[in-house]
Amino acid sequence: MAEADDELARRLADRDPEAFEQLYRRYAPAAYGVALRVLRDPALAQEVSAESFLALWSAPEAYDASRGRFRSFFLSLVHHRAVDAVRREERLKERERKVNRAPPPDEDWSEAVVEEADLADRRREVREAMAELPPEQREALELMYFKGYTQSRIAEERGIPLGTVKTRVHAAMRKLRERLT
Amino acid sequence: MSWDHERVEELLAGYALAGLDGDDRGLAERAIAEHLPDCPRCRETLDAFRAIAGDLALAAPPTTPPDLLGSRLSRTIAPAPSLGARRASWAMVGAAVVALGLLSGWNVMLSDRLGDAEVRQRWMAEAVATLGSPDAGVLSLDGSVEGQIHLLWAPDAERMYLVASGMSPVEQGVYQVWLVDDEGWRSGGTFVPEEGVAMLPMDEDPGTFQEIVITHETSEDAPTPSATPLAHGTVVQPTVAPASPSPTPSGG
Repeated sequence: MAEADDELARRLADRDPEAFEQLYRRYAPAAYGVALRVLRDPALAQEVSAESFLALWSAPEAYDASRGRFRSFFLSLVHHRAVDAVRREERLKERERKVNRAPPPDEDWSEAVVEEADLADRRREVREAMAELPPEQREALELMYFKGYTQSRIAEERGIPLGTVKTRVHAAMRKLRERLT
Repeated sequence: MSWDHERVEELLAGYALAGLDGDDRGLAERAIAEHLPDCPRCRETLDAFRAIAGDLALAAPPTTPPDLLGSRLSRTIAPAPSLGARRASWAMVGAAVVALGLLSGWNVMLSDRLGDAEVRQRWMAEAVATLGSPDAGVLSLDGSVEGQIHLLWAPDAERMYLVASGMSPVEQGVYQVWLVDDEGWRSGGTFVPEEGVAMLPMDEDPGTFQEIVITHETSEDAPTPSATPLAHGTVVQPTVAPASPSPTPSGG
């Protein structure tokens, strides 16, 4: 049976490369997948993934098992770094040109990825929970999460009050909390 | 300031998703610092929202990352090798000498055509002198590219040299060298093989990057790689103060 995440995370504190490798094998497709979805640029997604794994290796104590699962902690770390990177990139005006030159990021390569059963189960649960959200709530969540938009940018681009965006995001998170925790 | 749980929860939802800016972000950070330490309910909410924010990553398609990522990470976290291992091995030196031998032929063959034999001969002399250094480093790049590519350097040399042989011609564009460090990618120059061989001197210090990558680009001014890496190699930087400043070649 695969070693538990928490045990592997504990071994990272002892500078155990084998534990790092196991965590890499387990989470690299998810980490690279979300970075690619946010950044839509394979080179940048690779950079963000590398930075995230190296941050884990450098400071494993940042994970506190009493505050939640390792999986959520680490993927949240990757996501935040990807969002920071996409916002930096957007400040450079060449973003669109690079997107056009990159390979299509949303190609479904998932068939080639073999995940452990619990991770695949969780992925299905998350996708089902997202699909059950009302469309306007799902859109707000996806713009924020996968495009790195802030709430105020969503309000501006969609021409709706900021308060409406906040309400939608809040409602979506409540529903996901009920469904997924 | 008195805090309303509903209002705090709304802030925490946006905060966990990295979606706040301006006043809202400041207010959320203030709530976390001032209110959450005394409010188990809101602490629990923040932990739950953070967990959801992490798991939302799973809504993206899982994607196998490039092999380069794993090899780069494993070499970065690897313990520093012994000082003796930092010297170029005889096998690597042999490979580089073979490449230099091919270059010599190329130099003679093309000198009349291009009229820059003097420059080429100077590069050749410098590259051979680099290899002669007791602390020379030679890195053989691996990948799908046809032919052999070596990076040569020495601590006391002014430049490092990329030497390629047996490469396929490019019908359009150039081969571009990328140097990768923690800050990202930067170009190390471009080259076009002639009769399968090429040499590229670079005013770079191998201690300033971890990875060298070759791509095929359609133009010479690509700011970032737009194509899949054709070859790559990792330079392991010593994690302890070395007796010699030369980094370690570590294969592809």
